Amino acid sequence: MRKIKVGFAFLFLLLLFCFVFMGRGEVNGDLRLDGPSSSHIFGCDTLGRDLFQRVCFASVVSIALSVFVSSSSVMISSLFAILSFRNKTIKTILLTLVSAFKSIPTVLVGLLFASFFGGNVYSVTTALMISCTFSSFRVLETKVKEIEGEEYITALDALGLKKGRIIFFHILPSLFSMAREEWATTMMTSILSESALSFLGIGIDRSIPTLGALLSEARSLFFTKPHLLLFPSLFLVMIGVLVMIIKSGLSELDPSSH
Amino acid sequence: MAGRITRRILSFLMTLFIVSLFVFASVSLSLGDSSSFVLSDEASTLVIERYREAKGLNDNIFLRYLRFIISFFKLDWGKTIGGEEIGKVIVNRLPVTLSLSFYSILFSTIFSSLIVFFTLRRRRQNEGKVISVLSSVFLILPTFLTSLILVLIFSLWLKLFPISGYIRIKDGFISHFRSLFLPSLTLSLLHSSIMMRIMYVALKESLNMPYTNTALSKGMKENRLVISSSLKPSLPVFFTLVSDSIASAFGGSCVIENVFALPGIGSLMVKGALERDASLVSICVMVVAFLVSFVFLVSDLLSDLADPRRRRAYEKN
Repeated sequence: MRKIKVGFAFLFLLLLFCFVFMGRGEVNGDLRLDGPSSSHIFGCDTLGRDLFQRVCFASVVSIALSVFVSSSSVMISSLFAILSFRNKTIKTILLTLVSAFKSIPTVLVGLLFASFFGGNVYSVTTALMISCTFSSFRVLETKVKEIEGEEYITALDALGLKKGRIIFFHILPSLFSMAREEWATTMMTSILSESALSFLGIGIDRSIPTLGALLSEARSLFFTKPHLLLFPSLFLVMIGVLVMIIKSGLSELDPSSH
Repeated sequence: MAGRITRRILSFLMTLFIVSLFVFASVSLSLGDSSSFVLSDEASTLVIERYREAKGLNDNIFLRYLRFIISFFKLDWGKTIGGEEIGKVIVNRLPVTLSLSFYSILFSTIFSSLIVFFTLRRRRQNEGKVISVLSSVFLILPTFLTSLILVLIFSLWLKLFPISGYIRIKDGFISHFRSLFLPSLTLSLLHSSIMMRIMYVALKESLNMPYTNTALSKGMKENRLVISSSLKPSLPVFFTLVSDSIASAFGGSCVIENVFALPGIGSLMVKGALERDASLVSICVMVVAFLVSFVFLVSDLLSDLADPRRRRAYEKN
């Protein structure tokens, strides 16, 4: 429990901190590629914009996008998992789709969408959501199947409870612990995939700084100007570590995983 | 057994069908009708009609899908925006990505089995923690960051490996291997994050089995025990891990091939996506999906072969 509290508290603090200081930075030719100084603590980028503001902006974008993607895809996949409870047709259809999507890596779905609809927020989000929904459905469906075999479900059947009641009062609570763990896993995947996509230049719009885009800017200059690479990657790793802490805390909380 | 194999193959074909349907649907949805941008705005309805007739756009959707599939299997994949044959480009580039994923899986297998072996040998209290922390670190580090760090250490400071570029196997194996060493090392760190954890759990499980105690009490050396009597039960897990790694290798290769300037499928797809060459990217995705699902099929069949328990479980149902 402590881990979860610490993880969420620090993630929230980081988000708040970034939210206060975020900005796109102003173009200033005199400050191009300046190193860290007292007025610009992270230094300046290729156009003389303040890197600190941009890194904060990028972190907010990264966290917000991944929270959105993971929350919505876990919700959708939980819904699918519940729908597939004792419904063979839906289950077969969804599992076939899952096995088909398993063979396309997340980044490739992103590339496919970017080539069709251009690299913008919508295509990246949709691609990530599709990929994540199917991968978490696989996990949640296994869990539902496991719960289905439990004795208390048989007992509820014997008591004559309706299917809807079993789902809402007995399956959903048991599924919840798995769903929140899956939420953290999906968040990790979406942060990494989104930053990979924007590193390749096909992520979110160029006018919005993202951690991947900042790193891809820094790539060609990183031997001479290491600060351009250091600070964005520091924030990226920091977010990743916090999500990882939350994830491990959530998995320790789950009584059935021991 | 035969029933199981047929079922697996059927589900493989189903996967291919769904992927092709998905790609076909998105190509036709996004491109709409190619007449709208091939012909000018002032083209008369007659000209448009004639163009549509010639390209087969007037046929119904099933026929168009059928034609798409047939031309895919005839390796007639059309041309890229630059005018090259897509089939030829992919055939040229596929060996790079395949050898990259081969080396990376080799590295990660060696790497993670060594780590798991030594943590299990030492029998510490917190051995599980060591594994989970290491695997989290490898997972968190994004591939592009690891690759840049490795380039900094191995190419710039130690000058052991080239910074980027690809040398074909024909031009000498050593230089080929050297050119792919750093990319595959980067990719292997990503794989080992998952491999390590799952290998550890599988080995730990079989070490806790009663037969391990029997072997120990009969005087088997611990080293041999870990290697001989625990490896075989965890073989199916290993096959699954390798096939999963091949899938993630194709995803990771997009970034890595870009960083190291390797002429593989990944960098081809990125280039295609940047140029918005939908047909190139969708064909690439289809080829990758076919390869990956084929690998899944083979690994499923192999793990059935290696593990009689799985076969029996199937016969029971």
